[in-house]
Amino acid sequence: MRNSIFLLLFAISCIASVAFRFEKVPKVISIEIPKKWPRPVYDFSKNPLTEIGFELGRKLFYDPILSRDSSISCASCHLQYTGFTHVDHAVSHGIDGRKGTRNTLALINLAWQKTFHWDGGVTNLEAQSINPLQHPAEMDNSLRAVINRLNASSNYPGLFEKAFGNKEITTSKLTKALTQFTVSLISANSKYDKVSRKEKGIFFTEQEKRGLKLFNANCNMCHTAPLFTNTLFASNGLKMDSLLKDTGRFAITGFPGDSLNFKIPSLRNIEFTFPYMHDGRFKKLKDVIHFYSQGIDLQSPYLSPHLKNRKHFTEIEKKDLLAFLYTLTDKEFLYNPRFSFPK
Amino acid sequence: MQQLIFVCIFVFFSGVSFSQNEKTVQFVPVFNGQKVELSKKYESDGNWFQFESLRFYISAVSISGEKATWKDPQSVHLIDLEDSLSLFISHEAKNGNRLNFNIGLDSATNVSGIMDGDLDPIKGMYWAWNTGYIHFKLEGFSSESILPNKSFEFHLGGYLFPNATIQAVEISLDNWQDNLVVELELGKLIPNLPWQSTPSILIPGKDAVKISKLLPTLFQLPSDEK
Repeated sequence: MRNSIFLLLFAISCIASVAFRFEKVPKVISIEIPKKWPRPVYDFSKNPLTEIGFELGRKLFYDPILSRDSSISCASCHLQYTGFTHVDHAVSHGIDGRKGTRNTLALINLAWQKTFHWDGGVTNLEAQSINPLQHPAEMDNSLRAVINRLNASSNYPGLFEKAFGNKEITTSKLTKALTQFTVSLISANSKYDKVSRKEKGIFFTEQEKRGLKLFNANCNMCHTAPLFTNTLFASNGLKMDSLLKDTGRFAITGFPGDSLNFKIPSLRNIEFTFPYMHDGRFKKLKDVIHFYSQGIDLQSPYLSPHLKNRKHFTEIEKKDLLAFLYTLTDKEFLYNPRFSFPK
Repeated sequence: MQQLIFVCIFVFFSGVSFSQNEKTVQFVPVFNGQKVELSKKYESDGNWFQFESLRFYISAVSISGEKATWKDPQSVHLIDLEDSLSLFISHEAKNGNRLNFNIGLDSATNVSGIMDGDLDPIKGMYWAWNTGYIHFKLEGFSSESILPNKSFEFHLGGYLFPNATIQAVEISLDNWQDNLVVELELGKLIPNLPWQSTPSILIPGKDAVKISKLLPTLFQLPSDEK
């Protein structure tokens, strides 16, 4: 008898305690994984997406409160209309106009990325945002200052309480909120996607078809569909910039074979993410195709094996490839009001 | 019946409440036997040393006796000389002849993303550009440093092969005491630091591994207990 009373009370207290906690938790939403895509790498179970968390992340993404002098936000270098990168800037300028050393990466389909930055030094999407916050050439803030400023603000503690059930803003909550926004930036509605899904009335032109063929034969091993990256690193035969002297992934791993290896970026929305390459040295997409056709440093000991027998494209083939690459533009993504500056 | 209600109340609030315990392991940084105070000048072999920051992670603490082993339920502790409370770790071992812990964090903790408490990157022990934690940090000034302002900074970390810096420590406890004191003798480290080549180590790699391997030798029982 004593035992059964004990069990009953135990059960009641457990249910009460669970219910008590659920009351505060906002409704979980899910992102739509495009059909036939691989499983996302990001572990959503540790940071369940909620509408309120997404909106909080979006607000933070567009809020200059994060930078030392409140002058720039994440969106200053990651503009939606250009695939969340810094259009027309070889390398971006942060606070006080200070310049970095690498081209801003686009924020597209991050849920499928294993590593972040051109050198892959960051292995967790949530951890990534700490870099621009603290980098002297970017937001040049200290974590403590950001956290103190957010906790002292009139609106953020209330918003964090709604999203995470607790008023106190910590680094982990800040980075989780930002991630809820950035991990939701999924682009899968380009012409390429629609043709792949056999949507009604959407077809490739003959030129695009020829481009796709060339792409599959020469580019797809690294820029692998449907993400248009295999998420790995490679040396693409670019000579090292004599001023920047960027060794790429070697700086992270210390393995000589990783010298001049950089992240293989996604080609989605490539039409708008100019300039190109890790240091933004090419302004036009046709310059990039010309480089892969005729400009690769074949003497480089680090050159990707896939590029050793690179194809010399004719001028017509270059145009065909360009035409195909433009089918990776996703205007629904670039102009999706859900991702734009919060009104 | 009263006990049952108590148990139920405890279940309800579990996760919120902590039980208090006064038994502790205390870490005491010393330099040639003298207790270390930050920003104070110490002389040694004709050189001077001044420590501005001493912070390190301790993980997987356990105390083993012949019959039982107590394992620390809190997996990680940041020991920070600036925060005197952080020098104490509470324990619940009844007896023991062996104290074990790691200096540093395992690789799983290094890649687990952004965490709270002692692992919060706000504590200044997180490398943002190369995901992972600084396991052991010693900063200050010394006449030995070749840097113009005589500063030194040793940020030892790294979790990937072959640059992993986590170190296991085992200390034999001959005379059991509920409150254990473990000294950290910097005098065993200082003469072995690369003053004339790289008194500023800020990345994982060979240099960090080499120094990290010395760290276990620093931990000792106070001399009057040996």
